[in-house]
Amino acid sequence: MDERSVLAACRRYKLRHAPRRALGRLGDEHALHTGSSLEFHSYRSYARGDDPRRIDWNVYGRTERLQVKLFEAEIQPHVDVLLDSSASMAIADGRKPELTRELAAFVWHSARFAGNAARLHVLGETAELCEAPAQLSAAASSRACVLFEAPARTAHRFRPGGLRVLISDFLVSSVATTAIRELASNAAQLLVVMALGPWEANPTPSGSQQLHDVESSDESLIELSEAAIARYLVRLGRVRDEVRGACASVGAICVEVVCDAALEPVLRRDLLPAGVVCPA
Amino acid sequence: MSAWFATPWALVALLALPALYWLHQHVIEARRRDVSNLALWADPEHVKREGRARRRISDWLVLALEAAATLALVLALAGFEPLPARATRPRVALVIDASASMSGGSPERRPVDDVRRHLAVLARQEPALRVSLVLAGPEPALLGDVDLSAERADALLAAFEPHAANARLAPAIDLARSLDLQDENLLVFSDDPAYTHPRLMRVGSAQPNLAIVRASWLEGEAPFLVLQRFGAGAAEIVAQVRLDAGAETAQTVQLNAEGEAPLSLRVGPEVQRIDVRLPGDALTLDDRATLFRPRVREIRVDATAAPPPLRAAIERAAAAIPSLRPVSVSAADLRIVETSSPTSEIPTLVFTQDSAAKAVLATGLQSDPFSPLMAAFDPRGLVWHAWPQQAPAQARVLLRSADRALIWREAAVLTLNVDLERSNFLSHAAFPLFLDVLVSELDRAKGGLPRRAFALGETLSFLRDADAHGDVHVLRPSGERATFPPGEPIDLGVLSDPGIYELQSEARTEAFSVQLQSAGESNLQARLPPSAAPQLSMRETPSAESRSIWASLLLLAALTCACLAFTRLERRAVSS
Repeated sequence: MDERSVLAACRRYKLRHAPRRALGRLGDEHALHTGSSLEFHSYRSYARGDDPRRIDWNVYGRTERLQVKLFEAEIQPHVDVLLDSSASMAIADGRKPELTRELAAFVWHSARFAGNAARLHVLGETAELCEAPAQLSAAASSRACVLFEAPARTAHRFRPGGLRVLISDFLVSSVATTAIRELASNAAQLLVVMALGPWEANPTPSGSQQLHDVESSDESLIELSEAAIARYLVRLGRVRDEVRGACASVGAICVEVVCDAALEPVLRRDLLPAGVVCPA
Repeated sequence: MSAWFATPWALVALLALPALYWLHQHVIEARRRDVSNLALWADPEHVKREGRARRRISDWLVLALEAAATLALVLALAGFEPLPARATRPRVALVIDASASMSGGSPERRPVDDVRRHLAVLARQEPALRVSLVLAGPEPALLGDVDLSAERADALLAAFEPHAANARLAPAIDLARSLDLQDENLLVFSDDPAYTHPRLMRVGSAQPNLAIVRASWLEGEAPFLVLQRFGAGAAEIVAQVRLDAGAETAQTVQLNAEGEAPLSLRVGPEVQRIDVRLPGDALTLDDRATLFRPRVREIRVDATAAPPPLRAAIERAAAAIPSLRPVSVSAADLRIVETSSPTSEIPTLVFTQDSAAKAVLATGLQSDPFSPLMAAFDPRGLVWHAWPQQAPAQARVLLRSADRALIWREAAVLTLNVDLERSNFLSHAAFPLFLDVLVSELDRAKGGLPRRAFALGETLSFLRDADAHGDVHVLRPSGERATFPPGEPIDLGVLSDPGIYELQSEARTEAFSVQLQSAGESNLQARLPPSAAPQLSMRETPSAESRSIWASLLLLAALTCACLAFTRLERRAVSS
């Protein structure tokens, strides 16, 4: 992973603001709940114990009712970056292993530059917390991803009310819907990045091949004909629809990334149109 | 090594090599791909049927194996013979009696020379003959390598001098059979008239022979030899006797009607070595004898505490047991006492006495069959009255009656529960025999060379002398030296080399002789007429050609299986 290119990308693009229902420490982004900023939020009836200085006397003069003036809270929402580190993410297909790590690093740096409390989690057979993106290169790939094996238990390990960014290929034998639903259940916002290798996204006919499943070690001799590829694409489309459907049902943003280029072109081509990033 | 590739099958097989390479290079090799989820590529049910994950063998390894198989097929079809000279030639095993009598006869007419002549006949019948020579001595052994040319075998036989004390032919035949040979390819050569075998070739002819069949020099006695003539000859012979390094003196010996004569030599006390030589004849190995003055070995017995009848019996036994010396000193090797409980470490023979009790007749005497001390004990005719005593719990009972222990051993103390007045043990033959075995046991325990003249084929093993502290070396007649470190017994095993041995230690150097003393081996007159020249219909061992055919068939079968397996893989690929 080239961290300099990640930092260069951070200078050009940044992660878009989190929605207002996020939670976090005091900061400079508006929250849905009230606080002590200068931005007016709403009125409410006076109750015993309220600060009398907050009473809007002009309103009392007009209506003879005591109304208290409320202001918006300003927070810095926290960001959890979740990177699938199962063996399928390490397949040398285009720039899949490098680009997924660069994407995770980009989100982490971008959130940190914006003042958010960002954490980077590597999801192998267990969920491991990384101190910095530089450690991603040393993370070993595992045979499974704990998020898809035990979604509920894993999702509750992350901080509630924050922005969660999940980067995975979703090419798992288990159903990804549950994992997406669990992740979105206590997050302010969920961003799902489905990263596929170029050959995975668009295989070409190449005769008989001994296909080896890197996670289950199963093998099968397959004739990669046009018909077989068509059937594969149908099945891949089902996976894609399943992920998109799950995201739509929980209000998550879903972006598909083909790992065939460097980080910046991919941000420009795939993430910018989807509104996930914006020019810095 | 030869090969001929211009055969149609060999050419076809050669063409298979590039075909195999093409198959691997373009169909199997470099066509492996890692995927994230195999279920996207195949019917999930089909994948489940695969069962456990299998690790695929390297394609290059498969290619190498197949190429090797094909190459072997090519070579087989081309008639390649890796060991053509050996595998295709007929082999024969000659089992040769290695006893001393096989070297007895006039020069060039000895039985071992007959074996060489028979071998020459076989070599003429089969010019490419391969030979295995198996010697039948006390232990079977190979002479030279397993596979010899006829010329090499003849050279080995020319240098071979049989001198074993006996021949055990059955184990040698077993050894020959283990050399992957058929019975038809086996010949047994022996001059033993008593031996019979379907493949026996009798060798040697009847010859008169004069031999020393017995030679001994026991301590306290004159050197004694027994001469025997086998076959016709003069009744009077002249033996040459040399005392120490002196000149030889002729001694005339008159043989009796059976051709035997004992020869007792009178020598002075200063003589240490005697060499006796008979006139040369058919077998020279039994014409010489060397005797060394024996060491004084004695077991001093202190019987002063024994009752008079027992002392008298000891005196009588001492006359028959040369090494038994009745003494009356405290430094005895064996003490004989009556009714005591000695605890000393000196071996003690205790005859129990109990005047307060009444001895009863012991019946049903049974000796310990595993005790060497009781090996020669014969209780027949014994009248044994025993006291009502019991052996200690830790004692080993050597002789018991129906209801009590009669002889038991506890450490160095040997106790005999016998009423000497009412028993006939002292006048019975069992007593001196028992005493003799006991003395022999004590004598062995003292260590040292037991005698200084041994017969060929005897087994010699003894404990070292008490004063020999360092290594003990034994120098054999062949010049070979055996070393025995302290604490280890001197075990020479079977004495197979005739001649003078030397036992060397820091304390002393002792010589002893080993010589043929076997009337059976010296009796060359008993030989039966020799067999005619061998006419063998030797069955050849399976040739390289026949093996090649079978190997080719096996390889073809293996390749067919490989093709079938590959076809199955292809079918599976198509079905998926």
